[in-house]
Amino acid sequence: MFADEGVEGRVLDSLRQVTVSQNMRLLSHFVCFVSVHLYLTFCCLFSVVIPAAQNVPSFSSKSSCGSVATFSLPAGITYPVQIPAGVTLQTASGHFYKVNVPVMVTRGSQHVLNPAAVARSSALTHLSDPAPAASVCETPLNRQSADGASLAASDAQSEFTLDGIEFSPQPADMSTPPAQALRSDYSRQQREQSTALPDLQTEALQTELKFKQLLDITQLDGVADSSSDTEEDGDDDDDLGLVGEKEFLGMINEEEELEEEEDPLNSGDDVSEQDIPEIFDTENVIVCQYDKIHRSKNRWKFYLKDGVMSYGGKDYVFSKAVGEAEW
Amino acid sequence: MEPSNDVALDIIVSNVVSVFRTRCHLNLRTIGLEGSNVIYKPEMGKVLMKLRKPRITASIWSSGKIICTGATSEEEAKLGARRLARCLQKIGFKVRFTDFKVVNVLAVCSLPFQIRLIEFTKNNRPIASYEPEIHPAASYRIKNLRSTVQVFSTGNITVTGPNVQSVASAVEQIYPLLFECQKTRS
Repeated sequence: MFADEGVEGRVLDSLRQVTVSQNMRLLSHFVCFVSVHLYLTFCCLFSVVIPAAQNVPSFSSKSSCGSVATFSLPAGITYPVQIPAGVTLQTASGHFYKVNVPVMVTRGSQHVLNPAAVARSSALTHLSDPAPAASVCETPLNRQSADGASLAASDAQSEFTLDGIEFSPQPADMSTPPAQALRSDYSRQQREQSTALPDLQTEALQTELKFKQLLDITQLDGVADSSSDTEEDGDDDDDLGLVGEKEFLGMINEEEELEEEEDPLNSGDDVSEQDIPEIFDTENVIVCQYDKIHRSKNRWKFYLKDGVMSYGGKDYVFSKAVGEAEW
Repeated sequence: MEPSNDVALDIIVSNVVSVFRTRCHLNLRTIGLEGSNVIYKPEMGKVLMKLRKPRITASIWSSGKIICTGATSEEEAKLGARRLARCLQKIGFKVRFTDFKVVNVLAVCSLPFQIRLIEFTKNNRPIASYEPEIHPAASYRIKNLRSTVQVFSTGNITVTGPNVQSVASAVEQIYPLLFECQKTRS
């Protein structure tokens, strides 16, 4: 019947499967599946045509359809600012912990628990329960600390009292709030040049930086770089600079705005509604080869050959078929 | 001569082009196979997705950059872009709707008189340019609005600019100049 009987044999097999299981199959590149609606709405591809309105569930749970690795907040949230190494913070109760925290600008890689940093933290004096939790939490956020050795020695450099910082409750996702609070506190400190933070101020800071905002802090570089180039340059350059705080807080706000714009998309209530015309899927299918598929604006023309059409329950065979449709 | 303020001109926005980014890599083949109303163009490395509701066509690149064309207003462009991102999200990609920007607006306007292009070009020498052998319209670039007006002798003009506001201002700005050079003078 057809020149290419071997192909047709495979094609007919697949057609059988298509009509039976309603799944899409990818065939050899020169065969084209066409799904025919009553309204002749077509969707032709180079190799495979999707029966319209058929939502193949096989792609449901793709977390990484080539998408950027997402950061799970507890584990690997990354911050754009790096506080200089060797800064020691001290809570009112006298616990020391090192603040290298705010995020290294990394590409979704894990923050390796730096054994040196851990050792250093544990070597700090006045360690008690909250502190190890703090250090454990902090190390996921640390890269290799530059001057670990100076840590112990430099506890006199800049000490802050950070009252009311919560560490113990959630060691897993504390990384966000306390680190955030730490960072903001640190920045405030630097600006105000005061060593002791009153509780009020700390709490104000904490409430200021609500968790939702914290959730919005994501990687700002690499795949997820923001539109503003200057900020990123500032990011990378202000490695050990104290300059970054104001910019940083400004960036937090900008990130916030960006996130607020983006979030409504995820709710997706009004945004969708594309499924209304898509309900007309039928069993009318054409399996064939194509000579030419042409489109002008919304007018389609099909020049097909060597095909089998199942239409209205009946099967038709053709060596040439021409079709026209409006989309 | 009547002052030009009395004329109500119909400025028809015919096309709004916008871009946005999804901030995630998109597998074009997946979109081509799974998506509805898509045209996969592997030779050009992009997928076209057409939407009916706001009638727009979007070019989707694997980098996550999407160009949206065919809308008739800025709001429609944004709505269409969001719908499109929603479609991609339904396919399964972790899209974010970021960096939406209208980059070009095209409007046409039909003036109630014909225009003497040579005279118009002479009067507005550096700003207007007219090469009848190349293109039948005189083009008038308004630098501060970053808009370009193409004037045809029939009185039709097309205006392109970065947003609808600048397009409207361009028409207002050029109208008196065109009025001076109209053909219907006894």
